[in-house]
Amino acid sequence: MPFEFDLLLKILQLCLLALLYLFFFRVLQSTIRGTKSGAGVLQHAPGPGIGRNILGRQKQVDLHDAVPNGVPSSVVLIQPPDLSGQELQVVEHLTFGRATSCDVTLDDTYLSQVHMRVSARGPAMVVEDLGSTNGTYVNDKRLETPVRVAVGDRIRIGETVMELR
Amino acid sequence: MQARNSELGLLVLATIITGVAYALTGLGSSSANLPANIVPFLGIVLGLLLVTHLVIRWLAPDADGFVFPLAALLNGMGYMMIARLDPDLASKQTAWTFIGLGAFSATLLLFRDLRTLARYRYSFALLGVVLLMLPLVPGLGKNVNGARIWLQVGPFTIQPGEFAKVILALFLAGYLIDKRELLSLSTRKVAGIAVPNLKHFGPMLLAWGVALVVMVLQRDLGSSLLFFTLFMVMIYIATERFAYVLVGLVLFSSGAYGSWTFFSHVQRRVAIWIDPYADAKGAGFQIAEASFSMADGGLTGTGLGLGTPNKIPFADTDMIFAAFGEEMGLFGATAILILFLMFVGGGFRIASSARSPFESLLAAGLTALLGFQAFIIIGGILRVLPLTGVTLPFVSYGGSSLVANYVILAILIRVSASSKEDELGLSEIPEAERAAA
Repeated sequence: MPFEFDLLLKILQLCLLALLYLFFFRVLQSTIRGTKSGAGVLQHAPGPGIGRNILGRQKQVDLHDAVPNGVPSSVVLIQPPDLSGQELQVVEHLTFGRATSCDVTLDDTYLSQVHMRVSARGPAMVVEDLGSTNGTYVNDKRLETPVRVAVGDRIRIGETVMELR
Repeated sequence: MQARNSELGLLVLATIITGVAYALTGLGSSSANLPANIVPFLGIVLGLLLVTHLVIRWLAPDADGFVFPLAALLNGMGYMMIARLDPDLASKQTAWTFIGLGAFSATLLLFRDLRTLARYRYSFALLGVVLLMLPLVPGLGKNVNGARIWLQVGPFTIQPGEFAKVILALFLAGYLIDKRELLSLSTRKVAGIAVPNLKHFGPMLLAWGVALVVMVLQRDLGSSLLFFTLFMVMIYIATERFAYVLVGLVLFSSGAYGSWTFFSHVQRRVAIWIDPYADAKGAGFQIAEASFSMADGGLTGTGLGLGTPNKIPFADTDMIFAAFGEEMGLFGATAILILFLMFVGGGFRIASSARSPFESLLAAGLTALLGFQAFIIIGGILRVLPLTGVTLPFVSYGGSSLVANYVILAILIRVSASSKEDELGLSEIPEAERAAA
């Protein structure tokens, strides 16, 4: 009888270990699932879907109406003169700064390494300052929070000026 | 919301695992019976976790769904082991767990936008240093086991250093985001390596100074090692300059060598680390006993309640990992390691997807802090490093440590919730103001 109790105990201990490793398996499983669905939402934001996408679509309608001159799709450089007229398509997002890791590297001493980002979020275009020292100005107003922009808005960072088209 | 649902599933599983382990400690003990309070125990565990889960659903519905269940399981396994080792301490740990989860919920409730904290960085620096030095004030501080890191407040003893770590991480994140460009700028080359301007090594030297002062005045090797590592990790993440790591290593080596030369208690630690069996019944007893314990455990352990981890001094605080090694074997001890590994992975994932550089650096720093703390104590027990007394986060007995770690968890949850909200919530982004045409 005591022997069998010991055996039972040992089996139960092994079950506990098995449960612990089942827990890890479950964590991995949901991590992988989460990563997949997460990527999907990011890449095709307005796609028809369930859950949080419905929320997203609801907002898109409002946004479209709110922007008077239409939603821009690209950025055109105005200053400095040697870059004037260069047009940059914003597909997902563009980062601007002095660092070579930025999407757009500008040789402007008043810029921070990573200065500003312009991103297409669903139907809207958003400009945000990335913690720069000298700030990002949209229509000559310094950004405190990210803002949505429309065609014709002007962005100024350091001595660089660009317009949204 | 998908994250919340998987969180719920994992929490239920964590409760079952904790419950089974707790039941086994009773069956394995001399009474060979289920613990008398198994039903209320399960109820309280499940209740606490569910209430906290609902708080997250309410305050941070889009947050990462893994870090909380991982922490909960670590906390549960630790509690089970403390209850098996010392039932008196277990009832205190119950109280601390309630306070810890309360602090978790309060942090989530009070801090909705962590970015606003960046501007109070210098206040945090002051507060952190004051907290750290508080135990040195005569009358307030208390010497326990040779280290002066405790504060006596009425019936409670608090370790303010545990909270100072979190607060200094807040300062560092704010400071480094502000100054990182200056710090990563190189102005000259030395031996082919671009070196940033020397005057910007200030924070590094400050870290070194703070760590040394803590070590000398409080005789707390573990915490000083942890502070120094935190500074170095955060400076490296912020600047991406390897030069800082090199300078840090040089400073660390010189500091370590210096303290080894001047302090007998440091020499003793190192001697025990190199050969605990030279004085296995005296100075080396703790380490030697821990090694025997873990050897006894083998692959699958002696079984919960069936080993003798009580023989190890401080088995319920610093040495708790050895108790897992003995009673749950290599597989059980590895499971604890995997839990930490997954937690750190989750933390870095949150850091890399954070919406602002400040939150990203903060999350990375706090995650590294927790991971290194686990590494320092487990490494000490396994003789990878000299043993320095720090708690095993979430697992060891220790009120201040548990509460501080739940605050760290709340910050991670808040960072990940904010990044998801930002990704989805366009409505909160205002439109650019236009001059009237």
